[in-house]
Amino acid sequence: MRSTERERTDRLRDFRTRIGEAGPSVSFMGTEYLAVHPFADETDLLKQISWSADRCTEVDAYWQVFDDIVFVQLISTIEEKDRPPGRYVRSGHGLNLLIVVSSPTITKGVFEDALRAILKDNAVARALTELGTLGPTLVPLSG
Amino acid sequence: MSKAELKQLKREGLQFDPAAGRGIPTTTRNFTPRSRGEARAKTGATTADYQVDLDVTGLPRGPEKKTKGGLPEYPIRGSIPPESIINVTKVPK
Repeated sequence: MRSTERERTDRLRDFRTRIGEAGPSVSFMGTEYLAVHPFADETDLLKQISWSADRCTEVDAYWQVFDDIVFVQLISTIEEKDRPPGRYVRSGHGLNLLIVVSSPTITKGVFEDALRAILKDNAVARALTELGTLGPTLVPLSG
Repeated sequence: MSKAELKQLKREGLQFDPAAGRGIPTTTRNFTPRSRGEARAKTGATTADYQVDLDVTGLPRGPEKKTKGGLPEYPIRGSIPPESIINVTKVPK
């Protein structure tokens, strides 16, 4: 098994383990994701962890898509000052995807809209095939 | 963090590159995980083989976040030198 293939297999296995530890995951359009941060509309959870909806300006998630795991960071322009709205990718423990959106907070709907759009135009599939050529620096995602 | 990351931290520190990300994620020292699984679940960390206490006084921080596990997250937006290590603990499996 080639190194990159082994790394991909490890990422997939790690995702299943993570679901056991922190799950459950969310099924979405034939993919699955596990969010690290709360969404702005998860009212009960926000109350439980004493956090306000207006501070939910970034959500990171592990996303199982196209038989690999992508680390997604969705962030509001309120928080992200260095980059304009758009999609950016880099390599680091697999594919890292940064999506900057103009929404002031990240709700589940905002998050899933961004994933839906990126699935629709096939950009993430292309990025996964080009993973070997990506470096540690974020670059705009074409498409 | 992983064994490789700890080795790098001890040898040359962790370099922050704004072009590569939004900060080096850290959490509070007031969290003692009982297992690597609990540490990963509560922090969202990719790997939690080692817990490293760091003195990050004076280093720039990004905005505080909170994980679903209820832990605060402080992205450090500066390079962390090896001298900042206070303590290293191997997290139980």
